[in-house]
Amino acid sequence: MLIQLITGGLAIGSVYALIALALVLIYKGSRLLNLAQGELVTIAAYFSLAILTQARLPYLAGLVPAVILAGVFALIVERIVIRPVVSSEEWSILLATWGVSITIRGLIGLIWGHEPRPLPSPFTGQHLHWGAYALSAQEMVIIVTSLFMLLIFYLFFKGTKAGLAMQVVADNQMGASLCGISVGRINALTWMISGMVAAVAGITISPIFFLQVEMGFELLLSAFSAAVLGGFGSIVGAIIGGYLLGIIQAVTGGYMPEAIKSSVPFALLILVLVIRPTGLFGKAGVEKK
Amino acid sequence: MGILKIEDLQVYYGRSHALFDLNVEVAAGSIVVMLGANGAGKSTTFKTISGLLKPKEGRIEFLGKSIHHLPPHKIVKLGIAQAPEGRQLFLNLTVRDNLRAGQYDLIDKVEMKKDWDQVIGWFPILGERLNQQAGTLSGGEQQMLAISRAFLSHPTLLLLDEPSLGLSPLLVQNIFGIISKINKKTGLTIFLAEQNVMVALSIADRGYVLKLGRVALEGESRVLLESKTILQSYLGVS
Repeated sequence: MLIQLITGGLAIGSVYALIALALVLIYKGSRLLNLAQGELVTIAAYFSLAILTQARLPYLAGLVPAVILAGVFALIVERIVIRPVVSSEEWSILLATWGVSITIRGLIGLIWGHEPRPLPSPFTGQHLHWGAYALSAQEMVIIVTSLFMLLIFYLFFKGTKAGLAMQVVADNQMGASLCGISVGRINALTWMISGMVAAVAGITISPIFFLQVEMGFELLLSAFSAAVLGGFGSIVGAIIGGYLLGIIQAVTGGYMPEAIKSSVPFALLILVLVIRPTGLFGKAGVEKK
Repeated sequence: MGILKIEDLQVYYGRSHALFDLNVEVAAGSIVVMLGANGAGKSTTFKTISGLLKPKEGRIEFLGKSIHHLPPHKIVKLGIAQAPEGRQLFLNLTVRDNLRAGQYDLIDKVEMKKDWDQVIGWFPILGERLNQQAGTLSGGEQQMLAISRAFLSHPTLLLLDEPSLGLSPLLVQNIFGIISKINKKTGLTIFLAEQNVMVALSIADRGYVLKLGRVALEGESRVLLESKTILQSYLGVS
């Protein structure tokens, strides 16, 4: 029973880790909390629904174009909504992302309706047998795909010029421009990557959780808690926070009333802010404007 | 032949008029210094050249091309590099990554390696600290890193905003010696802003004295050095 709780926790934890990573990337790059991050997860899941039902592609093959489409969508949002207001006050930009969130939810409801829909996956209901245990195949898919995505991201971030540019822009925008780096272009790239990372989370979790218009919001709040747990602003922290939150949530849900489960992210958030606001890997400091 | 020409430049910070009718020319291969007290407008000038600020009126021409309306990264690509006020290093990244960032735009690997080796040759301490976080370096080492990062973009014009700031007299002599050496060995045109009058004029060919946003005095550094009392009156207590 504990093993299944842990794999379940790792699966939802993978989703939290990816979304938290996406949140922190945008935050590090432009000091912006993307309130539409959950909707980037949702829209990706609906893209994959459209691709899987229209194009009749198998589940994993349909994943790739959906991820790319989600990345392009995030890029378009950045160019159309965020870029024009980039020099405004932080509150204005935050509200702009909230506006994006509302708009995307409205669009999804308009196109696909408000009924919860399952995402067809060959792994639903299937089990992997490991010794005496039967592990959910879809959960395994989530864990493996997410790890793969994180690996690709790591290789990109540490190994490519664009990845270095992202690190550089996150550290000092003025210094970055003086090195010939276009901060605007890197911000656009960051949004695209955030969209793609969030997409993997959404597409892999949808066969279990069902697609619905509001699915992004709760995921956003949980991912935010995970990022705070890890020390908001730390990439490694966001990922570890995600996995930790997932496991804590699953294990508490296994031994306590089911209703408690959805309050775990918030309880943890309050706990972290009270005991250690900088989280596991965050740095305390004063920011100069 | 002037590779950088600033003509009738007017720069504002919001409603505050910071630079008035600025006219400056920097000749190819020379070292030019802009002297002035705090707040005189030196950094404002340098930020405007690099595109971080936009002038209200006037023009800046680099190699005959008008640049004052261009975004900062495009100005770097044209060949102007700056070690700016406050250094603006990537403090959370390693020394190596800071230097690599300087080479971001370049593609000629042979040239890049040559530049890299040259820089480590001038500042061996950076070579020793390549894997260290830039934020852990001392003030002098950070200054060397800032200058190196700017140099590594293989510029045609190097802007140095107060390279002596916060450094001990010995380090200042060291760094200015290297700046002079860079200019003599590679012919790189160097435009520096400085409060430290004597050291700056000792390596410069030409100087401009800025006071309250205007050019108050200009001339060959030899001439400026001789009129120390005039200089002092423009710069206040130096």
